[in-house]
Amino acid sequence: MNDMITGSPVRRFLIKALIFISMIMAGDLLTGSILRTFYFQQTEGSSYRTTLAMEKTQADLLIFGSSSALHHYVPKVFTDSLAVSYFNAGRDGQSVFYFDAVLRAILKRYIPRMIILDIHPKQLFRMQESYDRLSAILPYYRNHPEIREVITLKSRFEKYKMLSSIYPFNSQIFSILSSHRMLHPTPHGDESGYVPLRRSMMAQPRDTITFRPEMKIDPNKIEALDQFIGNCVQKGIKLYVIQSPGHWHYPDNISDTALAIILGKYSVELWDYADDPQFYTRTELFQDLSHLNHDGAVIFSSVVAQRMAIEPVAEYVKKHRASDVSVSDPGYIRPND
Amino acid sequence: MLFNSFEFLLFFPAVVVLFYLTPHRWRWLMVSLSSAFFMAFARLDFVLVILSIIMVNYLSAILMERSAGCYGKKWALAASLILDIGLLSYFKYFNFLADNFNSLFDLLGLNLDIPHLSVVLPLGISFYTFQAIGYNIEVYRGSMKAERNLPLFLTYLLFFPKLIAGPIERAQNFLPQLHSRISLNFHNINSGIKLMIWGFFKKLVVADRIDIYVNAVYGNIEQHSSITLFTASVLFAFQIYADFSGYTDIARGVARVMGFRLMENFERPFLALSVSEFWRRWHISLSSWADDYIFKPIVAQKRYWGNWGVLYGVIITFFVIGIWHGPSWNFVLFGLFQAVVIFYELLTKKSRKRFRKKLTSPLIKGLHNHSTRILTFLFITFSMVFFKAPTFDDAMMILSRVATFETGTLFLGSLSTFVFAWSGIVFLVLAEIRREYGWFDFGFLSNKYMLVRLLKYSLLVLIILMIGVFDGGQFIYFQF
Repeated sequence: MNDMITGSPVRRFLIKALIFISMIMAGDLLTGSILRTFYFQQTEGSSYRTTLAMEKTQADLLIFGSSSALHHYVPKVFTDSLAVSYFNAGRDGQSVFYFDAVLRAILKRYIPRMIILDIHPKQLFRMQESYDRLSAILPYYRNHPEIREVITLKSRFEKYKMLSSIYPFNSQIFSILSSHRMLHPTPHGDESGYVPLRRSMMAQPRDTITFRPEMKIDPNKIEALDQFIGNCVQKGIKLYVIQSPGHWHYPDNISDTALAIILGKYSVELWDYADDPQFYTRTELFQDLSHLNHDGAVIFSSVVAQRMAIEPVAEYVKKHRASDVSVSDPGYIRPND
Repeated sequence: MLFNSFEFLLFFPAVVVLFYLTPHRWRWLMVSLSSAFFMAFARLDFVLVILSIIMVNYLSAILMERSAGCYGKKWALAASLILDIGLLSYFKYFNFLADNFNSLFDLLGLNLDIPHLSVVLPLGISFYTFQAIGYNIEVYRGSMKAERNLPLFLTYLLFFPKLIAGPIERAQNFLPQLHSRISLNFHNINSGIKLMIWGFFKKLVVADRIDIYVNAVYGNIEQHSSITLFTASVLFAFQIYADFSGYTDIARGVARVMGFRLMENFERPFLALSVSEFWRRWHISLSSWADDYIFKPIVAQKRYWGNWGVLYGVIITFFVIGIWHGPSWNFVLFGLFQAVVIFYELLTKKSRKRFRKKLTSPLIKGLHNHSTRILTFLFITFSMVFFKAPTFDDAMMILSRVATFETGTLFLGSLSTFVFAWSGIVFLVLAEIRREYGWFDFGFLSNKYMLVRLLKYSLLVLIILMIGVFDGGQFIYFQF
């Protein structure tokens, strides 16, 4: 074959380069297409739940947040107490960027009645992994132009990287194959989005978390949170912002203030259960320092659902639809400005 | 700028095209400017540090050559060494020395408190300072002439592929290449791109994938079992190898595309049969530098001490190699462990050779070789715990917990991470064995058909795209 390419060295090199690039492009297109097909045929796992959240759910009540959202809100408790349909859009390790992107995709399809945003103020600190983990929504870049702005936070070159068909599914081949419907023909339990934790933590004293002084509030996260809450308020969605129980305590921090300011802007109350003794005094309700197990989640969900039931949703929706709060309020000053 | 960044994917082809379009006499300017841009991408003031080192060493080498008497030469060399080592110490070791002096003063009951400096370590300073020192020593010894052409000397130290993490290229190897006229050679471009792809594979598929597992374990040492700590330590040895040799392959590949040859830095070190051999195969540009400019001169000077002179030389050499990696007693200990074992190997060299001769059966010989290879690997793996662990106490905790074989389950973390990491290692080890022994030389890997060879490299690119870690951090050796 080497001898088949004749002519000057420049010509031979260019032909070889062309063949090499063509092979890569063809391989990328073919492999990427296969991965895309298989990705959307998953029937379990976190990617499957993200697909349900972004493209399928029509639930009245949506739960947003990271791992504490995913593991702390038991569907049956909410559906029974509030007589609403439920979907949990939480995802382990994700940040407000992810919540914002998923909500944008959902609002393109329908307007849910209620949203619970489970957020810990520490999630407003700048952490590189919050950007890196946006790779979880890269498979939706092509069909969801509304999330592209969020994805570009990951890197300014992201739109060029997305020219590759494989890149959105980078590092996912193992989970794509292991969660495929051929292996799991019937979905088992992921339809509500909730993932229970079953183990109990060994008894131990409550941990105190101290934040390193170099940790800074991330203005992008403030903006994303502002966008998220602003979207909810504008669309008349009843928003509950909740801080889940944890088996730790942390001293007052700048991130608390940042969260308080942004909630204050939209007159949204923070339901803070982080220091609720009915949870942190009972280690048997936790799987680890940050997460309630299923038993703890049932109790916590009951507490939250009862409180939600007190406040009539309809009145809230009516009030806020009329108020017409602007998302980009020029009077708002970022806490770190 | 990182080799594994998107910016580099834009920077590199632009530089190559400009390099070949620029007339030979102006190429130094083009390479120097692009190298300065490459470094300034991190911080502009880093460029000032390297420029000052370049000027000092350029002038001192010329002074040495002009000095008629022995004293003049010595003074010029001493001045350049003091400035090079002084600058390196200021940026890299000042706070470490201050801490140690403060502890010493406390012990002596003196109330002196040397404050810390708030300086950022300039990228690559350990690498280019050692290159500059090596150059001056060679000029002092008379084995090479001082470079009078400042632009070329500037290009030698600034050359961007080796600027941040080596290889610690010898002036006598690189400066002649700068003098020669480099013309467009497609064979160089081919082989350079292949080297780069292999380097990216090592970095993105192997090293950065292992990094996820190792960090999860080393970030939470007390929570993990003996078997997990053992696994993470073995994986870290592969990680640091894949990371650094991957960087070197990319650097050599980039240089090759531009028609330059940088030295080999690794020759399958984990296949070494002894620790001495390991150091002849691992970070060769540093170990050979230390051999030429520290070990050999010391042993020659202390030849009347017999074995004690050798021990002294080995200890000093590996002390420097250890502390070169960073201002921490962990690195010093890492170096000293190597020194002790290498000295033992030197002492027992003859008896071990006699023993090996007695092994006549090929099977026994093979078993002996494999067991020494595994022992060497395990020694290196566990000395590298001092590399990774944040403190001495953490390193000792890991080693003691591994040694006590506490029961516990193996932490897998994300199953895909674990599977990808081991798959990458198996692929890497097979490739190393193939290069070392010529095994697995089946058609696909070295096929006579160009299309099959191209297919092999395009598959490697697709694997990188599919399972490479694109959000991984910088190269480990950047911190040194």
